[in-house]
Amino acid sequence: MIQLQNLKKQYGSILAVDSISLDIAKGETFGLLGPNGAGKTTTINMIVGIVKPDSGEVRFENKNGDFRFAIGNTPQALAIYEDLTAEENLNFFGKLYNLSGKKLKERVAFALDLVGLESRKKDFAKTFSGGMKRRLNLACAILHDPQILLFDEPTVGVDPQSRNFIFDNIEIMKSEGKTIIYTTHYMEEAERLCDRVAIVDKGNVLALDTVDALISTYGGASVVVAELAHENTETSSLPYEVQGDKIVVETTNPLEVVQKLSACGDTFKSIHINRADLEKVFLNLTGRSLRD
Amino acid sequence: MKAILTLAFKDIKLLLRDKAGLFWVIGFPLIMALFFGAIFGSSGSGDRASIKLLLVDEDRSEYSIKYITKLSAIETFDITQVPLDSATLLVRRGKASAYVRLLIGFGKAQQQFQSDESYIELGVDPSRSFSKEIIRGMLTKVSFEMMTDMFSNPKDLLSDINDDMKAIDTSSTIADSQKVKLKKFFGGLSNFLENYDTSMMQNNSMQEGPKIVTKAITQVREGPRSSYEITFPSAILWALIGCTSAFAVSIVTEKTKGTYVRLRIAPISRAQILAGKGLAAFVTIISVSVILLVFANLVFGVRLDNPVKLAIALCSSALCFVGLMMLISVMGKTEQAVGGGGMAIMLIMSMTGGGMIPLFAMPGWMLTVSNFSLVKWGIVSLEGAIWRGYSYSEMILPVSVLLGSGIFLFVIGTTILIKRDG
Ligand SMILES: Nc1ncnc2c1ncn2[C@@H]1O[C@H](COP(=O)(O)OP(=O)(O)O)[C@@H](O)[C@H]1O
Ligand SMILES: [Mg+2]
Repeated sequence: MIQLQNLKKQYGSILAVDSISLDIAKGETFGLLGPNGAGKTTTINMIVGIVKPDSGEVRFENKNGDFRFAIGNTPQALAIYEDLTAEENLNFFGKLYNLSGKKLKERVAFALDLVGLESRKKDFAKTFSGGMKRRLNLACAILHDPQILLFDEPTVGVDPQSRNFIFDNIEIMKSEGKTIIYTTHYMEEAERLCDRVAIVDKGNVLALDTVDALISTYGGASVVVAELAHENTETSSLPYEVQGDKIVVETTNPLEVVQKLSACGDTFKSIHINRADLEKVFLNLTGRSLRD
Repeated sequence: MKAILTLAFKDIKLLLRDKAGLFWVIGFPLIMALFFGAIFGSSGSGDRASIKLLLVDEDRSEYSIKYITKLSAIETFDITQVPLDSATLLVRRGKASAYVRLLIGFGKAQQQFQSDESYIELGVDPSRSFSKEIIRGMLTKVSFEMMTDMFSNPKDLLSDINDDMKAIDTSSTIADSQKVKLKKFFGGLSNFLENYDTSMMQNNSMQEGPKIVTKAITQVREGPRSSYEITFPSAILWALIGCTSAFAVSIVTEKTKGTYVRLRIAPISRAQILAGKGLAAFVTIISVSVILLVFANLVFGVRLDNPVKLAIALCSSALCFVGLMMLISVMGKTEQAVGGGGMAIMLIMSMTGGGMIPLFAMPGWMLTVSNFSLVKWGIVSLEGAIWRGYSYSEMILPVSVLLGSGIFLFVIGTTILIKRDG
C-alpha cells in the first residue's frame, strides 16, 4: 500500500532520517517505535508530503485520484485553531476536503461522537484540557473518512481517560480495515496496537517484524521469578540457587523452568514468567533504554 | 475558489475574535484620525461644523437689517457681509459654504406677503446639498419669525395704519368716494388688530416659506475642506498597517500552532492557502477602510465625491499591503519576531510617509525621503480621490507604484515561504 524507499532527510548537520525503507500493507497497523529524536515525525511528514526527502521516495499503491483525500494525519504538534470551537474546527477542515451540507454535518457529528466531544462542541478549543485537544486533533484527521491514517504520538501528555478513548478510537479504525501508521516511544502502546513494528533509532530502522517475532529474535531470555513461601525453607534440595527469598532464572525456555519449580511442591508462594518485551529488544539493539 | 473562501472566512472569523488585533485594525486608526483631526482643527469648514455664510444685502432696508441680525444669531452660521462679486468668488474657492443675496425690494415684499416673486438668492455648490438644505431651512425659519414678530406687535402695525389713514385724509390724489372705502377697510383692520390674540399667530404653523432661488456655483477644489480630509486617509493607512501586521502574524501562527501542517496535507494547493490569507487581508482592509470613510463622511463631511477613483486608490493600496504582508510574514519564525519586525518597518514607513506628519507639512528633504514609503503613495492616492482632485492620469503614478511594489513584495515573500517549506 505504502512504500518508502531509502528516505533521507538532513537538517543542517542533523541527520533526521538516514535511510528508511518500509513496505506497509493494506489494512495493517504499523508501528514506528523509537526514542525522541529518532526521526519518526520527519518520516511521517515525508509520507504525507509536507517534507521533501533529500533522496528516496514515497509510493502509494492503487491510489485513485488525489492521494491526499486518502490520508488522514494526526500530527504530533496539535493542529487545531484554539479560537474556533470544536465544531467550527471540524467544519472548517471538513470543507477543505470538499465536504458540505448534510454529508459534512454527518461526518462532524460522527467525529465528535467518536472522540467523545459531542457535549463540548460549542466550546472554544482553547478551553479544552490537553487530552481533549488531542482528541479533537484526532477527530479532524478522520473527518473525511480516509483509508490511510497516521497517528504521530497521539497520547503524549494525555490523561488516562483520554488515552483510553484514543486507543478505543484506533481499535475501531483498525477493525474497519484502515491502514494505520502509529508512532510512539511507549513500547506498551506498540505491543497493544500494532501488527508489525519497526524499531527506529537515529534515523534508521534497526529491526522490523511482528511484536512476538521481535521479542523472540532480539528480546533474549525470559526471566522466571519464584518467591519462597517460608523463610526457613531447606534450599539445598532446590533446582536453582536462592537469592534472598526468591529464585531468579534467566532462560530461553521458561516453561521447562516452571515445570521443574512446580515439581518442588508448595515451596513457593508465587511463580512469575517475565517475558522479554520491546523495551528489552531496544536495549539489546542499541545498548540504551527507550526513555532517556 | 471555494477553498480560498473557506480559508479567508476562517481567518476573518479569527480576527474578529481577537480583540487586541481588532484594536490595531480599526480602533487605533480611528483614534489617530480623531485626535489629529481635532489638533489640526478645521482649516476649511466641514459640513457639520459652523456653516460659513456670506450675506449680500442689496435691499438695505430696515427689514433686511433686522433679518440679517436674526440670521447672525443662529449658532450654525458664521456670517460675514460682502458685496456680490466677492461672495461669488469666495464660494467658488470653497472659502465659504454659500452666500445669501437679499435683492432690492426684499423687505417690502416680505412685509406685504408677496410670494409670487423671489427676492432671495442662494449661491451654493450643487454637491453641498446638506448645507443647502440647512440654509434653506434657516432662511424660512427667520422669515416666519419676522412675520410672527410683526403680528405679535399689533400696536406697531396699528400706529402704521393710523398714519396711513391720516395720509388718506390729506391726500389730494385719491377720489373722495375711494377715501370712504379705504377708511372703512383700514378701520376694520385696526379693529381686528386691537382685538387680535397674539398667541394665535405664534401657534399657527405657516405652510409656505419665502421663495428662494438657488444659484449653482461649482466650487473649484483646491484644498482639503477640513483637517479630517487629511487625517482620515492617514487613518486608513494605519488600518492597512494594522491588518498587514495581523495577517502576517497569523501566517506565522499557523506554523507555530501546527495548523499549517494540516492545511498543507489537505487537498488544496499552497497557492490556495496563500490566496486565502491574501483574500482575508484584502477583504478586511477594504471593509475597515469603507467603515472609516463612511464615518468620516457622515460625521466630518469628508468628501466621497469620486467613488470610482476612491475605489481604485483603496484597492491598489490594499493589494500593495497584501504583498507587504507576505514579505513580513517570512521575516521571522515566531509571532514576536514577525509582529515586532513588521511593526518597526511599517512605523518607519508611516512616519516618513505622512502617517503622522501630513505630507503638506513636510520639509523638502523629507518629501524626498517619503517617496520610498509605501504609506505615502497610499495616502497620495486616497487624497487624490478625496480632495486633491486628481484626474485619472494623475492617479496613474501612485497607483502603479502601489501595485508594482505590491506584486514585487508578494513574489519575494511567497518565494521565500515556499523555499522554507521544502
Ligand atoms: N525542521 C527541522 N529543523 C531542524 N531539525 C529538525 C527539524 N525537524 C526535525 N529535526 C531534527 O531531526 C531529528 C529527528 O526529529 P523527529 O523526526 O521529530 O524525531 P521524533 O519524531 O522521532 O522525535 C531531531 O534531532 C530533530 O531535532
Ligand atoms: Mg516526533
